[in-house]
Amino acid sequence: MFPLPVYATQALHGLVNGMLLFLVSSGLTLVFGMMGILNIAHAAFYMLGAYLAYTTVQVTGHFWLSLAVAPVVVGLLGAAVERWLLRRTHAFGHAYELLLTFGLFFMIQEAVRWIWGNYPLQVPVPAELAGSVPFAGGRYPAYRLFILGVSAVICLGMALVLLRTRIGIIIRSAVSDAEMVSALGVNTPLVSLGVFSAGSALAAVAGVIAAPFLQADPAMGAGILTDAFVVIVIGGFGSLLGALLASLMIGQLQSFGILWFPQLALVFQFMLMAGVLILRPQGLFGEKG
Amino acid sequence: MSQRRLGMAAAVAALYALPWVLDTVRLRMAIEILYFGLFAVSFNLLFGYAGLLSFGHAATFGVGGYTLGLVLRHVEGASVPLALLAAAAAGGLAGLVIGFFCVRLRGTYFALLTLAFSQFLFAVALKWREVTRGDDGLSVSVPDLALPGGLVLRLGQAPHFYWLALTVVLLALGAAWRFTRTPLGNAVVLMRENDERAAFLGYNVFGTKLIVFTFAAVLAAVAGALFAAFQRLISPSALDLPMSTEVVFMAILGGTGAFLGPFLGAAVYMLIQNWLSEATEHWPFFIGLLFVLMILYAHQGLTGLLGRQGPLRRRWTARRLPAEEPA
Repeated sequence: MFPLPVYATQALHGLVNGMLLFLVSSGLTLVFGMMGILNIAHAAFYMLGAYLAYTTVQVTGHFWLSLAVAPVVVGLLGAAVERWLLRRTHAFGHAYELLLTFGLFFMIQEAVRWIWGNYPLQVPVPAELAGSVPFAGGRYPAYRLFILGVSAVICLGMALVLLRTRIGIIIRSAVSDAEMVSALGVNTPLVSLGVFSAGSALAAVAGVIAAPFLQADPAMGAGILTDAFVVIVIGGFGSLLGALLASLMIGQLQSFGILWFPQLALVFQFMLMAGVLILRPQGLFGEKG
Repeated sequence: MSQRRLGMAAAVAALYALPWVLDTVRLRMAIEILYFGLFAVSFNLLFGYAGLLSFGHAATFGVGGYTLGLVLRHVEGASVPLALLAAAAAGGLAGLVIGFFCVRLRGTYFALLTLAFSQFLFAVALKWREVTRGDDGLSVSVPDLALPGGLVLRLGQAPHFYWLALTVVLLALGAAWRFTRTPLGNAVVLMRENDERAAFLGYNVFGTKLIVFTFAAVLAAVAGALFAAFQRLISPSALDLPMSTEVVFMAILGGTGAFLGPFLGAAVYMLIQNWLSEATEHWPFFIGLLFVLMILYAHQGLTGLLGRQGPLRRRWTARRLPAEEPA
């Protein structure tokens, strides 16, 4: 139906989109696994990251600086949200924590429109990565390969931290039994604060990386929200490996879905999700919900 | 008790008399409050009574709206009551199917799955252009309604539509109120508190929750049908996330611990939104801020602020919800 290089390009395209989606959902999954909170404001943090990248480039002219600025600003914001808002809501139950982050999502999204305007802003691709490289008989934009590389590095880094360090051990054990961990002398509120802050910072990194590719767009938060939800449902709540696999599946599905059944492009991920839930309600790697 | 009945009769009579008091602009607002109020009450049957937080409650709202629109458009000589019944039936069917997959889950899992189903329906409404006209939406033409005794409701006029909406909403609220007082309605509260214990006591948790979900879907579909008939248009936005979240706002604002709390919340929300959107184009920010403050300082909502301790079955005053217990 299509020549082979088209498939290769679509597959790479799907891989790039999938890894970007993973970058967003990984922070969400981390926080959910640790604290049981589905942080809806995560999508707003992602969007905020993209806009901070825009402003950093505008003010300083350096794209790479925004990779430091955005995670720090958003990470601090996340820490404040955890410390002063979520911790107070904890006693009301998870439903109210979810609703609180939802209210924050609205506030941040509208604040971004207020500050930066209700239209997409172009963030230029950094000069070092502006070109393209030969791929499958054609050329492929270098920046997209950079997205792929960064996502892979962060993915590996997270795996290393979680599996090979002392902090990772504490986080993983706090996921399964926070009370016991705090009885062993670990300051679990501090761990929660750190994880939430780190998750928020990850969202900002994803936003920065996405900005030259997708622009800083006032609708990008709402847009990524349902996709990230689908990812964590398919992958299994709180499972990073599941989130990775699900992101890659959705990336390919959307990439090839658009090629073959363009009119169904919006519903592929939901069909996949429905299928997974019927066969395996707890998701690919999730524990019983 | 008879005094109470008398009071209610007077209140209903006053509601029917509103078109003689309010101007058209305010009357249109009142109509919107009616169907959004019903929508919010149906949401709270799930959240307040069953402890199921739905993030996709717009799904059945939209199904009701589209059903009414399609029936009026394609069925020769269809009247509005028939279209409303069809919308209720379609909503019930959709609720049964969606509920079958969702009610097994709890908490966040339930919220996400309902969201996914509503997004699925949203995508269908957007893409199935032959039936739904996609993004443009389906225009709805509402025929006049002949009543027994030679009276005719001209539904193009706000007062006439108001009387129809008021009648339908009062009937639906009455049914919902009765429902919460049945043994099944009580069993739902038990399952919210502890569904394992309910299962041990021999209750069919899945079946009971499915019935509640379906019933709430029927009510939401009726609300959606009124919405479509009043707006004379039904578009995919009726199924979209903002519609699902607006109803959450309304319910929380009014208070989820009282039967009519969400209705009050819908009314207050409409008034606040109307006022805010005139004052600033960035009104969603302040709605979000209000919502965050409500959750931090008054998560029982307005009826919770006003209310005393009492059974949840009360109409206006709230009692403390089980979610109070530290999780």
